[in-house]
Amino acid sequence: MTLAYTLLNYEIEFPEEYEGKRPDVTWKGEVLIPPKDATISVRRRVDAADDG
Amino acid sequence: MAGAALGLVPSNIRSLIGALVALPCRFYQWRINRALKNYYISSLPFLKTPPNENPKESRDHFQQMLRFAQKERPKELNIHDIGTRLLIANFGTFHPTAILATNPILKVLDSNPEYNTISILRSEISKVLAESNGVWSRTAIAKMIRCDSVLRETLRINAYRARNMMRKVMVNNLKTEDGIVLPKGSDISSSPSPFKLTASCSMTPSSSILSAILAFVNQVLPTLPTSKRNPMTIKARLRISALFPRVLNICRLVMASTLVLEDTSLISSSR
Repeated sequence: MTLAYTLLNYEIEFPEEYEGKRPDVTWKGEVLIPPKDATISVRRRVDAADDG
Repeated sequence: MAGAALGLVPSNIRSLIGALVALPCRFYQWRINRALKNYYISSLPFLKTPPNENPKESRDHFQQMLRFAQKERPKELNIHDIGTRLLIANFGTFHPTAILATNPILKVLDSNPEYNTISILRSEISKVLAESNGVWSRTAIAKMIRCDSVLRETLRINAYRARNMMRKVMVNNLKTEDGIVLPKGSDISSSPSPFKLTASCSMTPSSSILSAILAFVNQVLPTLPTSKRNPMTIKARLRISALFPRVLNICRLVMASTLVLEDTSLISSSR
């Protein structure tokens, strides 16, 4: 639901400095940690339906 | 950290070491309890009325925890126990959710240039929501097949943990097809992540290095006492007095078992 709501209501993209590549994940032992310093550009969609 | 520290010290002083290692945790818990106190006190009067009767009563997770304590654990209806429960709930739900929710976003953005992922998902989401009159219901969410596929694929590639659930060996002298004898009572688990990532990956070690490591494992395992053979729990059973004479062989054993059972290309494959 989080994913669906985000995609429906926001334009998201990587910052230009990422050059279209996703930041690497980190392995800590057996646990995979997403990149803590990763950022994404977020803008509310103008034509987004008001679903909540 | 506390678990690792306790696993390395003799059992008779673990209670002392554990208390010392946990001091920072106790301090943070005290600060959280102090910050929570006013909210806790303001929530208590609502417990005198039946649930959902007072419209001013909050319906958040915290209030549900108070209701549960009132009904099932009256002795735990105090700021200390409730604060502890809140900490545990946060640790168990917030962090895994944050981790699991981050990767799909990155995955969608990463795959969008090649597969037009965002547009396809938006189309599906809009269609499903239109069918449910704009209501975000569980039934509507379940109909988002492509969203579900993206999430499953993300979990396949970026699983939270690389190791699956521990299993206990319940029979004597269980031998794997690779010839490794697993003593009864051993706790074992495997790492399925490499096999999800590499189609050509095989459990059978093919290189001479892995074959040598496998031979080493078979050689060392029988020489250890039965209670010490399990590489998963062997570190936790160490005693300080016996640490140094054994540590080299134990490290070799853990490393060898890891290399035999896991694909060493896991990290580079997943990045």
